[in-house]
Order: sequence, then structure tokens, then C-alpha cells
Amino acid sequence: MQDQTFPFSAIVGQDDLKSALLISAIDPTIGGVLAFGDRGTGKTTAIRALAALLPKQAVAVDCRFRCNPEKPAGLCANCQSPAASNKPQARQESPSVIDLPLGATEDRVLGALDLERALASGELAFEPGLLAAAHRGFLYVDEVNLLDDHLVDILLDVAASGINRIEREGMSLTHAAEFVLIGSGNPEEGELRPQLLDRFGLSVEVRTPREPKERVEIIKRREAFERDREDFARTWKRKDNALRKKIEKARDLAGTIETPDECLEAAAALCVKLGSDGLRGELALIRAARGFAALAGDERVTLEHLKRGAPMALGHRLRKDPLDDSDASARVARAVEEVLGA
Amino acid sequence: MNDVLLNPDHLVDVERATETGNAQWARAVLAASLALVYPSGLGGVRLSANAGPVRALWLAELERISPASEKSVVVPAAVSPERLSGGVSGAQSLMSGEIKRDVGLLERARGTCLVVNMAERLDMQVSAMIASELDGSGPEAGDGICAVLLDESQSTDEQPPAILTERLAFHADLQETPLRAAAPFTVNAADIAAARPRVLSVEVTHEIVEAVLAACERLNVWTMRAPLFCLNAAKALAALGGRDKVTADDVLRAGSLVLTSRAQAQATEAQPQQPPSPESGEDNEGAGETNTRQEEPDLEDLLVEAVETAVEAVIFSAKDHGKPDRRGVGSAGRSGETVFASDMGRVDRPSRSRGRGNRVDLVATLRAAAPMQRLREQPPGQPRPKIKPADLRMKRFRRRKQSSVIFVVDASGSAAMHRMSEAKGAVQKLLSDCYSRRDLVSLIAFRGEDAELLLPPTRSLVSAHRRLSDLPGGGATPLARAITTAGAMAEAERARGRSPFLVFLSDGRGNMTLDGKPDRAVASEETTNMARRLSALSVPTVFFDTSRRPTPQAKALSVALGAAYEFLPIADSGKVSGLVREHIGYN
Repeated sequence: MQDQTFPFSAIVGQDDLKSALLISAIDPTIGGVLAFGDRGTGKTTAIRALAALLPKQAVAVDCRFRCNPEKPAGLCANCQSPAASNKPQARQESPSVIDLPLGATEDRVLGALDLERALASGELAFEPGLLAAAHRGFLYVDEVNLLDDHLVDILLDVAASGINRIEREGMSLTHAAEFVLIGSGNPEEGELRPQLLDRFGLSVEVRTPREPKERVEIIKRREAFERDREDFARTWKRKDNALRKKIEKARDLAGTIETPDECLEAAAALCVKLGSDGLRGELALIRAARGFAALAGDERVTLEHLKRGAPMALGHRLRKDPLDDSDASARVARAVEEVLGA
Repeated sequence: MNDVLLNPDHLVDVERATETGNAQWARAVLAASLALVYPSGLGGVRLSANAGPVRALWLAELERISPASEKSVVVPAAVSPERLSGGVSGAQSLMSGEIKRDVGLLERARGTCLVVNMAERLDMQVSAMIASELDGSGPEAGDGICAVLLDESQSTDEQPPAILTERLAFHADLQETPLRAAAPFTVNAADIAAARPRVLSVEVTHEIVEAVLAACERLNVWTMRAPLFCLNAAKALAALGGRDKVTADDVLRAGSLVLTSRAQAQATEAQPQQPPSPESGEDNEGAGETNTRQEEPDLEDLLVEAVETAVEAVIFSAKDHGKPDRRGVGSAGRSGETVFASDMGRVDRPSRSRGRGNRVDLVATLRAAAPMQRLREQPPGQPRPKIKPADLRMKRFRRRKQSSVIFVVDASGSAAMHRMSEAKGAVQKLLSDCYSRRDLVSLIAFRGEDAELLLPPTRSLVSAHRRLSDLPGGGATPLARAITTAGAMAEAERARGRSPFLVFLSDGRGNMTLDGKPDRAVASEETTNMARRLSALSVPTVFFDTSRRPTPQAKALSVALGAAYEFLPIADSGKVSGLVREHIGYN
């Protein structure tokens, strides 16, 4: 019996974070979300709530690789075995949110030799790691700016290709590992390597709420949740259900949304103005704009969507001038105003 | 029933916060009791105390009043992550031939206390694991672990990681508590056990929520955890007292306990004091709405007052007892003690080389041996796997030799502003350079009579920006003092397992003696002596001469320091940071 999580719709404020998470769920190719900022702002709460909110997915029963029974081509060896003559048995489950602990070993992350079976029967079997468990779900790395370099490299590789390749201890195999990477952290602990920063599709700054009304509401909802979790969840069920339907619709719509030339040009102009390196910024910006359009149920991307997507798609890609006191969001806002109008 | 908790005289003591031993003990008792009543909502207690009979009594009493059936789990700060999370036990598996799993210590601590020794030496990895455990507790009040961090640090330079302390409601201090003030708790396990099921249904009025929020704001404590902890602590106190509603008293006592240390942390990192915001007056001005507000003293004011008094008292007593200045340079080597560099033992990939002192990584060894069993004519299911020397894998500890660049900047005289801003620029450039990601930067500024640590060692650009925004300047040049401070700082960094690197920005002309007298001749002699002493530490040093023309004095000083000499009259920060990086590269 799963512990009741705090409902997504009940989260007060943090609109940027919530939007970014929803967009990454609608379009996983956007490349993950980086949430950085103050402590105690509900980052972890939001991510767990997201998983509980999302539409359930078909997962093969007893499969440690989270195989999709609807896609026979991608099944793991277990699900493909002659014993499962037809499609493997399926179950509806929420997408997984896997925590990547700071001190995780490579074995734990990638997977390793199944010791038990090897010692007991001498067979070489693979014990799936965290990446397998995160397939078709989310991999959450808290304090991402403190993560070990070699783990960072592994994550970058797999997140980009969607495939985990194992060559070790006498085993050689690959398995699908398509996940949305979500990182959170506090900049006071240290800077994130630029290479890693750039790989995140979207970034949001999470600030402590200062508005008194907002703060009161946060406390009240938290109290109500602690008092009776089931009851609280029931109160918010309707809103959560509505949001879930919105996401389903958005996912269906996503492939057919039109992006007019005017928007493509504006996106390019914005990136040039801000001096964001490479093309990832532009791609992320367009995808974010499409995400906002999908969420709103619109069939075409507009400049408004671009405006909303710009800070989260570009805020972390600005070439850093350490002596420039103005913060990233101010620079993006300025550029947006100049290129897209107020 | 609970004299310590409900006795109004004690309440007065705590509120007046003269920080006598009795008051401190009372607070520590309150913290322990409340944390045990509602661990899932309060996290636990950070206890600043030296090892000794006072702390031992507190711990023994904590154990006694804990309603858990299992004893507390005690771990050293150096506990390995594997022990915490559990998993395959290499040794046992090897012996029996079957996979044996250890129950992780975190799992074992659920429902009882996790006591961490020498918590100031915790590394990020272990802290993050404990923090994650604290995040996931509930739904019952007594669920999860009650974390107790035993903190023996003497200054704010060495603290348990913020990721953990942020998640603990209480910080109790027994450092100044004499033994005669320590008495057995008057609460007992039955009281705690009875209070637990009541906590979640204790009512809190809207007014109290607003008062607590407003108090936090006035104290400049903004994290949402603070008001939540205040309210949870107040609820726990009400539950202990058998009440179903939180009273103003509860809030005052529990709330001030939660907020004092957080407000104190704010005060020490003092930015220019914010003028009392006009909004906070609203509560008082919103009169006419509720009569009661006008007649009774405002809860928000009382709470703020209680906390501010407590904070002042602590800072006052710290100065009184000659404790190191909160912004001091840090424990420069406690002689005779084994130094544990907290960045030391992070287990790396297992290696094959069997150097001396390496430890066997049993699980990796088993993994290496397992595929070979058939070849070694071991029928499957044989109790012990055949291990050959080639299978052995060793644990390799990766020692991160971080560089710690210490800027020592002359902030005296008229050129101060310019020099300081160059230094600030250089600091920020160094921090933002991705190569230096692992390196820390700190800044000591000297002027007038003293040398001040403006920026403690940090990797964070954000911190540097914040702390260096207000740069003082002008006055005499206490160069000798700057050198001794730099030396102490370098030693402290070494003690933490880092490689210090000193960068001086000055014209080399000190005119203030060590005991604060403006005597140029004596100052010059002292400067040279201190410089020679510093050079004996063999810390790589660069001396940037900021005079208009290269002076023999500056050159002589850099020789005495054993430093590399660079002439830099119109320094630009790019040049400084570039040269610093070059020099670090050579070492």
C-alpha cells in the first residue's frame, strides 16, 4: 500500500516549476528539468506529486526493466521468453520516480552481475540497476551539483541515447533506459559544470515564497495533509483528475501542433540576442513553447507561448559574465522584451 | 507532572534567557521531549555539547524516555553509506556461500533514534541519505527516525551539513552547562507514548498561524520549514500537556526554541539590518477586527522579543567567555587529536592493485569470482565460492585534493576600494571557472587594527557575491596581523585535507604593530618575522605588489614569505585570476 503523496494540484505557487515538470512529462524529448534554489521550497514534494499525478502506463508484470507490453519490439529477454507466448501480462502503474542517491555506486546505477544467481547456479544473469527502474519514468537527482563526475558522465550518456550498454563481469547486453532527468540543488553548495547544465532542457529557479497570503496557505495545506492524508487527497482528487486529463489530451495533441515560421524566427533571434551557445537552447525553447501550447489545448504555437518558455529554456544557457550583477532571469526578460515586444 | 516543562518560573527563566546552565538544560530537555513526541514532523535535535557527563546524562535520559522498543542506533560520522542503506554483506556472503543481506542502519533506526557522533564531520553523501530518510516519514507522528546530531564543533566554520540541520527543528546547546544544572528529565516514556497519537489532531487557530509567520519574517528567517516546525513543536507541547488546542504559551516556548538558532544564524551573517517592514505593523493596526488582539499582548511581538533576547544573550555570552569570534578563522589544529578530513574517504571504483593498507572490496571480489566458478570445477550450490588472487578487488578511496585559495587583501589607505574590487573580481572569476569547480576560495581583508575573514572558504559564486557586496576600506595597515591570520587559515585548511594556496594583494608597507600601535619601524620588523614563520609552513604563495612601482620592500617581503613575486599596479581581476590559476597549476 503506497504512502499517500501530497497532491500536485494542492501545491501552492511554484508555477514555473510545475509548468516545467508538466511539459517534461508531455514531451520527454525536451531533456529534463533542473530546479535550483532555496531550501525548503517543496522541490522534492513537487516531483513526487508529479509521478502520482501522471496517467498510469502499461507495465509488464514481474518485469524489472519496466517493459511496455504494447511494444513487442523493445521487450527484454524475460518478457520475450517462449513461455510468454502472447503479449506479456500487463498492469497499469504510475510512472516510476527513482531517487539517485549521492553516493550511489556504478553497480547500483547501471546494474551488475546478479550475485545470488551466479553463486547459486553459476549462471550469468544481470541484476538491473536504477536506470532500468527509471525506464519510462523519472530519475531524480537531489543535490545534483555535488554528484560525482563519473556518475554525471554515465547519466549524460544514457539520458541522451536512451540506451544503457553493459560490458562488464562477463556480461554484454543493452537495455532501454528512457527517462526524464530531474535535478535539484542549492547553488550555495557549488556551481554545476557547464556541460551538465547545458544538457538539461529546462531550468527553473525556485524561490522561497514571500507573499504572506501564499505562506499562510502553504502552512494550512501542509497541516491538513499531516492531519489526515487520505482525506486531504480526496479533497484534491477532482483537480488532480482534471489535470491528468489535460496532460493526456496534451500528449495526443503534441505531435500535430503547428509551429509558424514567425515563431521559429523569433526563437532564433532570441537565442542570438542572449548569446546562448549551441543549438540546444533553440530546440529547448521551441519544445517548451509547444509544450505550453499543448497544455493550453492550442493547435498553433504563438509568441505568447515563446515568451513563457524563454526563461526556463534559456536561463541556464547564458554565457556567464561573473562581473555582471544582473541575474539570469533579468537578462532573459530584457531580451524577450526587445525581440518579442512587451 | 512535568515540572521542567510547565513550571512558570522556568518559563520566565527561559524567556529572560540569561542562558544560565539551568535554562540551557531546560531547553535541551524540552527539545528532546518534543522531538520524541513528533519525530515525523520535527526531524530531531542537533546538540552542541562537548563529550562529557552532561551530554552523557542527556543521552541516557533520551534513551530512557523514548517509547521505542528498540534501542537507539548510534553511528560515527564516518559510517559507510553501505552500512546505512543495507545490502549485500560481503563478509557473510563469502563465508556462507549464500547471499546475506544486512538490514541497513537507517531501516533499523525507524521508530527510534539515530544518534550521530561527531556530526560536524559528516560528509555530504551520508548527510544526503539521512536527509532523504527524514523527508519520507509519516503518516503517524511517531513514524520515521528521530535524528540526534552530536556536534562537538567550537566555531561556525565546522558545522554539520546544512542539508541535515535544515531538517531538524531543534538546536540545543549544552556547551556552557555545568554538571549541577543537569538533572534527570521529569518526563517519562509513558507521557511521550500517550502524546503521540494526540499530536495530529491538536488544533491551531488561524491567528496563531499568522503570528508565527509574521514573527519568522521579522526575524528574517524565510524558509518555510521554520514556521512549520514552530507549529509542529507547539502541537507536540500541547499534546504532552494533554491539551487539544495550542495555546499562546505553547507557541512561545516551542516557537522560541525552534527559532532561536535560525535567527542567530541570520544575525551572524548580518546583512545591513532590514528596517522593520511596514507590513508587520498591519497586524497591530488591523485593530477593531478582533477585540482580543488589542487587549492581550501580541503573540507575534512576544515571540520575536523572546527570540531576539535569546539570540543577543548567546552572542553576548560567547564574547564573554572568549569563544572564537563567530566569523573567526576556525579551529587551527587541535593538537594531539587525529584529524579526519571529511572529504577523504569516498569509495571509488574497486581497483586491482593491492597496495599496502588497501581494504578488500568483498562484494566486487565476489562479482569477479562468480562467473568463474564453473571453470573452477565448483558444482553449483557449493557452499563456498573458490576465490583466486586474480579475483581480489580492493577498495580505493579517492582523496579529493582540493585547492583552497586564500586571498589576503590590503584594504587600508586610499587605494583600498580599487584593490578590494579587483580581488572580488578575481575571486568570482576563479569560482566561475569550471576547472576550479573543486577548489575553494576565501578572502581575508586587513585594515585598521585587524584582519577579518570576509569570505569563508566556499565553492559557491552565490555566496561570494553575497558576502563581498559590502567592502570596507581605509585606515592603517596591519600587515603583520594579516600574515599571522593567513597562516592560521592555511593550517586550518590543511587540517581539513585541502591544499591551501595564499594570494597576497598589498604594497608590502605595514604600519600597524601586532598589538595595535602605529609604529612603522616595529611593524616592519614584525612583518618580516611573521613572514618568515609563514614561509616555514611551505604553503605555495603569490605576492601581488600593488604599489605604483616595484618597491624593494615588497620584493623583500615576498622573499621572506617564500612567495612568488608579481608586479601588479593596475591590476585587473582577469590578470590576477589568470596568474593565480597558473601558479596553482605548477603545484
